[in-house]
Amino acid sequence: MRIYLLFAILGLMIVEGFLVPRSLRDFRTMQKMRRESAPTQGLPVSLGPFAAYDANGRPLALVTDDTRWIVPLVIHSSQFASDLEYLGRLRKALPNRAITFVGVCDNSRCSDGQTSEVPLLAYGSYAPLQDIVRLDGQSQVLLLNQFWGVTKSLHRTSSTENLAAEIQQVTGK
Amino acid sequence: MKWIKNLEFWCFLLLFVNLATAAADFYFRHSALALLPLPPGQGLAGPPGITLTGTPPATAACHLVRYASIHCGYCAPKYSEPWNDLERTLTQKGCDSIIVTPFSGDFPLADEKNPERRLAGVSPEFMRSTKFNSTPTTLLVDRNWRIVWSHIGVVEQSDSQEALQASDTLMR
Repeated sequence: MRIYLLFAILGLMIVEGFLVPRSLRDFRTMQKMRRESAPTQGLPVSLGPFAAYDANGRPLALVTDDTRWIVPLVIHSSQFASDLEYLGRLRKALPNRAITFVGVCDNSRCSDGQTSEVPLLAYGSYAPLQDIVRLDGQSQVLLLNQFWGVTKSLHRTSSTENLAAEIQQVTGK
Repeated sequence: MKWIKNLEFWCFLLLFVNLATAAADFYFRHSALALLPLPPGQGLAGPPGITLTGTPPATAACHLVRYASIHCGYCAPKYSEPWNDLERTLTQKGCDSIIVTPFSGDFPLADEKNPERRLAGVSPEFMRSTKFNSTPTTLLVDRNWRIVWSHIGVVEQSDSQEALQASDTLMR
């Protein structure tokens, strides 16, 4: 009986000796994958060169000679009407043509057949879209200069007045 | 007798430790696999966007998607021979080749013998479903935009062979 138990203990120790290095290796792999798949942190330096198209594939001319600032705002398909209204109110609060507002649809079909005084983007450049959508997830809006350089990130509040005041404070417009 | 009881205790303890280690290993391995980007079987939101002509890429038996940039050293022609061969073989088999770039006008230098559809703009839903974060990244997807094979980094000859093997399942 004693011998049998001693062999069992020895066998279990060998199995453990095989399992521990394997677990450590898999633990390190998991940690590495977690680090690599973590979303990018912080603000991008620039979103340009950026190309924008409407739902029909027509290029959108976002920057004119008057443009000094660009504010891209995500239009969520789940609250399309209210987001569009928000963007409209923001445009009215800051009518200066030096500031260009762009509605960035989170779904390429969201702007189908819609008319808006603000250009609605359905397709765009990959990395800038990624940054705009990622920061929107943190309730942030990017304020860009006319060369698509990131000037500041602003807090997207439920009240347009607060966001308009923040934009006004930075741009002086 | 006490000695045997002690041995029994150690047996149970070791058995318990073995089971706990095996369970922890299973968890680590499962978590790592779940974090693997672009695994085969994952569905993408297609069509991915619009080409330079303003239209979405036409339907094809399968799609070879490459996220690359002219600013990426490893997307340069000197590292792209296996990629060019893969692209040539698969486009001859009826797949299309779609080039996605991080920024506008970033298209990498291409082998002009191969027909490529260059995307001018991507749809937000395609961007969300792929979450590319490094160039070059290469995907082979079926006609329903389901990933069949994926590779992050330079496509080597062995990767190209792997992709061709995976494409066989699409042609049957």
